Amino acid sequence: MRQVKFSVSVAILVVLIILGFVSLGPLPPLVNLLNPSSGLWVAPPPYATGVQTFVLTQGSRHALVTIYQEPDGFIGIASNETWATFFEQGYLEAKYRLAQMEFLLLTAVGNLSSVLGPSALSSDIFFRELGNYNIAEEEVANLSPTSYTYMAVSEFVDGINAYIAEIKAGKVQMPLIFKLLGFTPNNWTITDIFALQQLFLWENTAAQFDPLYFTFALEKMPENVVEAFFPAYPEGVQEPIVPRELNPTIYQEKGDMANLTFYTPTYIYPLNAPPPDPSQYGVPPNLTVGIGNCYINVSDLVLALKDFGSNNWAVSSPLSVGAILANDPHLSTTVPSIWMGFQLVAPGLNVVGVVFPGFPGIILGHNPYIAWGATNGQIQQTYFYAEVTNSSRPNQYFWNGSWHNFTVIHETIYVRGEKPYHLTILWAKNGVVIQRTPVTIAMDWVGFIPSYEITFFLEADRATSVLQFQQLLEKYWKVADQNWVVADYKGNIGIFSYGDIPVIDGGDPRGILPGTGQYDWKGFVPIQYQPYLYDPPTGFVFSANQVPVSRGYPWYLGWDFESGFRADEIYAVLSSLKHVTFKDMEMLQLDIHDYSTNIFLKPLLEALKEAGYSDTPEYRALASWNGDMYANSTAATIYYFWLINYISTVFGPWFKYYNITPSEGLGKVSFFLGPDDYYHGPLVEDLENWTLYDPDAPWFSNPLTGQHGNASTDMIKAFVETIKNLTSMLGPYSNKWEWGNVHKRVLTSFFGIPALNTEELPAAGDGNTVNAAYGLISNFGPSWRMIVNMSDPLGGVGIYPGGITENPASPYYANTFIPWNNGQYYQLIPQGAPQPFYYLYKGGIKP
Amino acid sequence: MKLWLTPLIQLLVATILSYVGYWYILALSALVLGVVDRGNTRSVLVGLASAVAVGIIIVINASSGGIVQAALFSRIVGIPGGAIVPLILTLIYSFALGSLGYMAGGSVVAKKD
Repeated sequence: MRQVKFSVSVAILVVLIILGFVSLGPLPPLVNLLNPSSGLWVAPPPYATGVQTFVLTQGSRHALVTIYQEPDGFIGIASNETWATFFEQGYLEAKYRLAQMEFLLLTAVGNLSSVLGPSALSSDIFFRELGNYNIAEEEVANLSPTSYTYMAVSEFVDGINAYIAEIKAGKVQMPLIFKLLGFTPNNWTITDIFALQQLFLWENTAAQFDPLYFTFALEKMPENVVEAFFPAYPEGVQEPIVPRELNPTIYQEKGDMANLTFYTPTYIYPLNAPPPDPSQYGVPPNLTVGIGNCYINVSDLVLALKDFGSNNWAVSSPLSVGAILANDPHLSTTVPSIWMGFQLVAPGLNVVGVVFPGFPGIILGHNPYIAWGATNGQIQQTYFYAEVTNSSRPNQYFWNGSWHNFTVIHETIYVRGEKPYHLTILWAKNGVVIQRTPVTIAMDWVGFIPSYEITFFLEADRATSVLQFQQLLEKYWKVADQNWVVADYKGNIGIFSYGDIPVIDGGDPRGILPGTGQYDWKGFVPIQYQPYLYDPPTGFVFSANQVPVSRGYPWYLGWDFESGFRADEIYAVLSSLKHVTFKDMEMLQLDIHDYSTNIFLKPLLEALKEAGYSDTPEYRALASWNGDMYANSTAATIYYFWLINYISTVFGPWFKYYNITPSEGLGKVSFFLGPDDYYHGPLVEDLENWTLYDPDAPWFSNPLTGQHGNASTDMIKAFVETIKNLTSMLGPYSNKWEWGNVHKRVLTSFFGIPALNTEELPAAGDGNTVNAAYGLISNFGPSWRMIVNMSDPLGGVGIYPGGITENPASPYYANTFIPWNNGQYYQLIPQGAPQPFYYLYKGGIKP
Repeated sequence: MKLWLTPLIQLLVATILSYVGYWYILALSALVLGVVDRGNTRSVLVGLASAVAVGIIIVINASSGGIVQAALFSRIVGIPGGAIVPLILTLIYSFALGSLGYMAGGSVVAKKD
């Protein structure tokens, strides 16, 4: 009996212990997960507001440090030693955002599969092909160990590692997400920071794979249709960033435009073969890992960095006293936010603003002398080449008249739960091979050349004038071309759309090019001819991702710019003001007027009236509406859906007629009726042009049915369809049709875990308004708002949605969401901050 | 040994083990107590003492957000009831380790008269 009891109890005990030590699906072993002293029962350190002053000791070095943790998503760090400020920044970023940083890094270096398993493999393969880590190694190797950048980055990394050491020593707890994945962070290196830079640059490179898709427009549609639908210079109402009259000098060179073609393919992709599929190269959509609701959504991880649209402007004399700058970059609005707010104070440095977790310094912000902001320049910095290969010459390609060996790189990707994946990467002279069959396609990207955008950020933080900022851009900003707006304390303003912009000798850069060498980059647009303005006589500069230059600019920059409605609105407001105040800037940043209504609403109402719809409640709602996308407006709802239907009504049949398929990009990219930017690309600009100036254009007719149409008939068709859809969705016309009932803002989990999303709030605005809220359940919009008058920089304000910490259990996880949605701002250097934070602003204060 | 002494020792040892992060070793301490007790039937009490020990550490950590985090875990994996399910799971597991360990230890040697 005793033996039986022993056997049974030991057997059950052993089973229990084994069960406790094995992973259950994606979850770690129970003994770890439920461990009362280190598992899910113990939370990471909480975020507490207040001031701490202490002496930081690192080896033989000592520094006095003041940390000021604010409730508004900002942390102030002041020290009498520069190294200590960056060390503390690294430490505090890790303390409050380590999971976010680690996942960004794993993505950047192509190691996500080691944590998430095989479903992240395609992402890893692509980022390995992109060579982020290898390029980062080159960047670090070329960096002087005595440089300011090296010092700042290495101290920052030491700070991160100091926090990781505390985790490993059991002094502090890991983020919950690490515990769920059974992941333990490793020490960071300087190279890791530069690998993150590469990820950031890739995600902010405009166009990316557009030429792969556009090749099918070039091949399947006749030249006149391509020219009508996709003109090389947008046809809508345009207020360019640098119009010819304000800087004629950049228009004077011969340039490369005259050598290029834009409406016929230079390379013919075999249409009987499967099309290139960029979704295979990058981050696949809906890539999830885990069970039930417990998963990481890999596509969300990277999309958070992507800048699809943004606004910035600066005004100065004669419009304002002092130079006032405003900026709101549009990125995914996530929790935790993609931004962290810091004020960094050290000898010669006092800068406040926001930075991506994993980066040192400040990316967007102001110091006592200058303020700056950025929008994506939408410049094409990726080119695609079809390599000439021959099955009798494996691993070779024909280039510049002879056969060359591909450079071959072997890499191993460790995959959780599976065998390691062995990857062979091929490099040609004109880029990395991203597809081998049926055609070998190489991608060239400006980011393959080592560059130092991190240095730019670190140096800009200490810059003292617009001109110095411009010099830094010239020297360091090469990839992910941005429109940088700058204002300084002397009242100067400027805008600079700078970066390495490739120049080729011929062919159509909008599609795939032959890889024979003839169409390779010959250099870059000389910096003196790149678009810029400095103290223009208008008294303001501005950008909203619209076309940077007037028609006739001699260099090719790209072609798929924002439709320009936000730019039109900003221009309309700024050019109407005689005296600009700080309040005016706030109102403009929160402006919810959809400028497209200035173009389409009147012709729509006329068409409806003529067709006998003027007695309908929907018509009356539209007729009494001013085009503001208020949450309580029913007209806003009708108009939003109508515009989408108008675009689809006109273009949908043509794409079907020319057999453009989803696998060739239909519904994926803006120029083929993409899902989230129906009306942010060239198609809506065509409609502007035709509706206003050519309402009988043949494109309003349906090529599938042969039915003749014009702007009015298509507008009415779209209206009827809209009313039908809304009635089906919301019932007969009533206050249920209010915009806020169908249009919400939400902060979605950075990790793609729905349970960690915030609530959805009814929201004003849309994708065309300055205060942008793209899509219906919008998790994309002004990820950071800042307004600074450089004649009183201490009064500068800003806000980012979310909170300082990634810990969902913290009250500071999403505490700025509602204030942000309500249009509130916080003073960036609050009144009553500890003295060191006024360094360089007030006399007699030391950091 | 007195009836309450064995569970009390297990409570103390298991609390220390849980605090230092080796909570599952409470099965071993229970086993040793079972051997020492030579099979006395206190397995339920030892199991309870083990669960209480783990519970004490959980309560200590509650102030730093442990319970909230456990509730968050439930939300993420789709378990209703907040922290209740992970809590019950943790306590049952501790109880099972303690009582089975004690039972196994007590079965090694002949029963005391």
